[in-house]
Amino acid sequence: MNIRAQVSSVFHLDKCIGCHTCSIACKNQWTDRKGAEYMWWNNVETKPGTGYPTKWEDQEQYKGGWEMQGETLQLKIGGRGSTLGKIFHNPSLPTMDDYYEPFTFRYDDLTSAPAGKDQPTARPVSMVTGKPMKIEAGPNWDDDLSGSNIYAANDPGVVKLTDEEQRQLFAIEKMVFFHMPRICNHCLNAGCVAGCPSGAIYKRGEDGIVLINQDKCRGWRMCVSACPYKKTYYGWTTGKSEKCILCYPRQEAGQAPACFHSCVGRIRYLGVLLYDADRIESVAKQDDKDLAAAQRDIILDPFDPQVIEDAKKSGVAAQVIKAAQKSPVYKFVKEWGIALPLHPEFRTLPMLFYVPPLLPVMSMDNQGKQKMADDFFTTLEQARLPMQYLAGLFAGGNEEEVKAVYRKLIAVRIQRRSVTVGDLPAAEVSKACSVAKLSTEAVDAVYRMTTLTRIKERIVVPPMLREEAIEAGMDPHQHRQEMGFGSRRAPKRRW
Amino acid sequence: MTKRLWLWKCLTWLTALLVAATAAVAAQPTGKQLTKLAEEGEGLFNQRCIACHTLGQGDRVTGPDLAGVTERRDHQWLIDFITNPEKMLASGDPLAKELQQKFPNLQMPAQKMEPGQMDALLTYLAHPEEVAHHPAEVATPKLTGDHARGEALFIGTTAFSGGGAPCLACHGIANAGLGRAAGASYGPDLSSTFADFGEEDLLDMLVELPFPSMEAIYATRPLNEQERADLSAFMGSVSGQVSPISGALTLHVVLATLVIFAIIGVLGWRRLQGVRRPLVEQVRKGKGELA
Ligand code: SF4
Ligand code: SF4
Repeated sequence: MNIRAQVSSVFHLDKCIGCHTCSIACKNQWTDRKGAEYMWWNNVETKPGTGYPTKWEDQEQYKGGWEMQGETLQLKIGGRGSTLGKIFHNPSLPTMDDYYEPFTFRYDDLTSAPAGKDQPTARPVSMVTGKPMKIEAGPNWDDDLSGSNIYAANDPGVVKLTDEEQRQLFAIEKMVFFHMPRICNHCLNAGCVAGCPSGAIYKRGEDGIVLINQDKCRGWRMCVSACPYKKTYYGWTTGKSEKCILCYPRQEAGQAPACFHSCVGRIRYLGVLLYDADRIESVAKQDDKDLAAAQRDIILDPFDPQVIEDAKKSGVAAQVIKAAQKSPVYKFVKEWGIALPLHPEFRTLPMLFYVPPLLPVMSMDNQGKQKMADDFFTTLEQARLPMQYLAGLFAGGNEEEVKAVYRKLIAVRIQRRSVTVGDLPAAEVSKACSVAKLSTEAVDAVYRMTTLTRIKERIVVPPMLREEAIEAGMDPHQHRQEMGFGSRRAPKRRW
Repeated sequence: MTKRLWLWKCLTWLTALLVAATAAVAAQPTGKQLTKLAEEGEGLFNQRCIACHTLGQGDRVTGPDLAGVTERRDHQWLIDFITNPEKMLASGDPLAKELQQKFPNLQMPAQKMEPGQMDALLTYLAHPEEVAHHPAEVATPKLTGDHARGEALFIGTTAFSGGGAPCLACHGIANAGLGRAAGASYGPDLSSTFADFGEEDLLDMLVELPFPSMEAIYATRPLNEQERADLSAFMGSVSGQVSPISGALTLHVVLATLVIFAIIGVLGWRRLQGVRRPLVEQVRKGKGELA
């Protein structure tokens, strides 16, 4: 057993209002610079939709993530040899148009234009060329189903559905959508790390945060292809790639990452998980449908004395184990089993989990017509958002996985209704709980965690123990005196 | 004033004048001293200048005739020009420019002069007749050179007996197809040297080594007479010959460049097709309409 700690997160999709506050918090802090305009380390997508960059989930196009080739696990962009062969002409990259050409407006013209017959306007200009441009795309161009005949219709998950299902999905006045915020998943089996020919990307040993060393990066952009979530971005001014750093400087100071901190819907939970690193490869080799369960399986119980002992032996600090015991992520993923990884079939073992959205699923039969427990579970099959679509997103196509989650979420509903409205017989409630395989206490706990918790409970930043990490390399006192904010060197190549 | 006093005064003045005149004459070398200086100057001239210049036989392609140059040019200008012609040219001196236009083939190398040498050289240029009574050097019988051996020496397949580097190390001869690919470009191309200088001067140059960089190499590792003759024969044989492959080479370079670009083009052909735009196009054309 090689037990490691991983800072992981849960996004509760029922709570996301699609306000993009998270994206802005991130942008203001990290990517508001020349050459980084198009980098949205955090972005919020509308599902169904093609997301950002367009159709990022289509790995036939972008060759992200891993695939099984016989018995071996292989990056979809190919092994070392073929990476080398493509090093100067990697064909699996999104173009600028698949992101968007970053733009701004000539606001100055509004106040400084000479007097004339017409109102002055602020023309859009490209932030790349500085010239006036026609805006044709943006980072959330398909927000709230805009252009759905182009974007939602071409969602790789939708395309896989049967014609009949697609037609129902797009029926007027029945169309539903939900928001899906995305950041880097800080994967256990990260494609970006494996794809980098320069060895510039690494996973921090103490907390599993995946970072790109800006001194080592040579701008080959293999990580851009290899990450199936398209969460590394190439910086055009620096010639280096960049990605979400999970606000590690904030976490080291005990604060929540900016997108977590600013989240209006309070959908974001953060905490540390303990897992068995020796089993990563065997998990990643499972069949598509078993991946979500297998990934849940290598997450270890931080209360188990055996696990605690092994973790200490593997060098996980006692404070971190304590933090793991308080981790809301552990509860969502393991205890309650209501959070699933996004696209586990990419086999990178993403460590950001999603509670799938219930509202768009069940809103078909509402307004008093709701029959309780029995009906809920039988009508899941006729849900407004096809189960197959959700299973494609969160469970490698395994409908049973998502249904199990929905049963639990519905059980929480039924119990809360019985408490607040009081119009349901007790039998109804206990039946719901037993079908969902959740105790009444657990249902209460889910309700509490979803609605009532304060930030300290939702976001449990583990002690980052920087002193200990520094101590491994140099005297902390000397480090404090000499390092300042760390070494900062301008990249050699600038435009 | 008495007559006597006046006489004394005249005498003093005369003496003073006489002394001054003697001193003035003494400043210009005369007689034996002049001859000695001029001889030293002649030596220098033969060593460094004769390869390109003449004294009284008229201008050559390589440089002007220097007879009477001390009258034509200002003394200081001559000194400046001889010690650093490049600097003069760079400073925009009109005379230097004119000379450069008249003799565009060769840039005169800067001459490093010991103190006194400049004086000697200028004295010789002013009074070449002072050494005229010297017996002319006995002409040695001329050796005939073998151009094949000359080529071998030039290229370096046969080593110089003195141990000097082969000419190709620094010079190319484009006419003979030598030195192009190897980038022998430290010294000038020697294609037209034979035509420009003629055999005699070429041989002289190989003895006198008027160019500082050649002097550094060959002064201590001189070429022997036979080698010089061979080289001269070789250079004579290629002189005026048109480069045999220059056209073909250009063609090859152009073709190779095209092929390389074509390969890159094929490899990158439709490499990044874009994803979003085709989707939009599809719907615009009506194919993407939902049933
Ligand atoms: S999601 Fe993050 S850790 Fe995973 S492959 Fe992409 S960039 Fe790497
Ligand atoms: S801030 Fe929170 S609620 Fe708003 S879009 Fe981001 S994740 Fe959703």
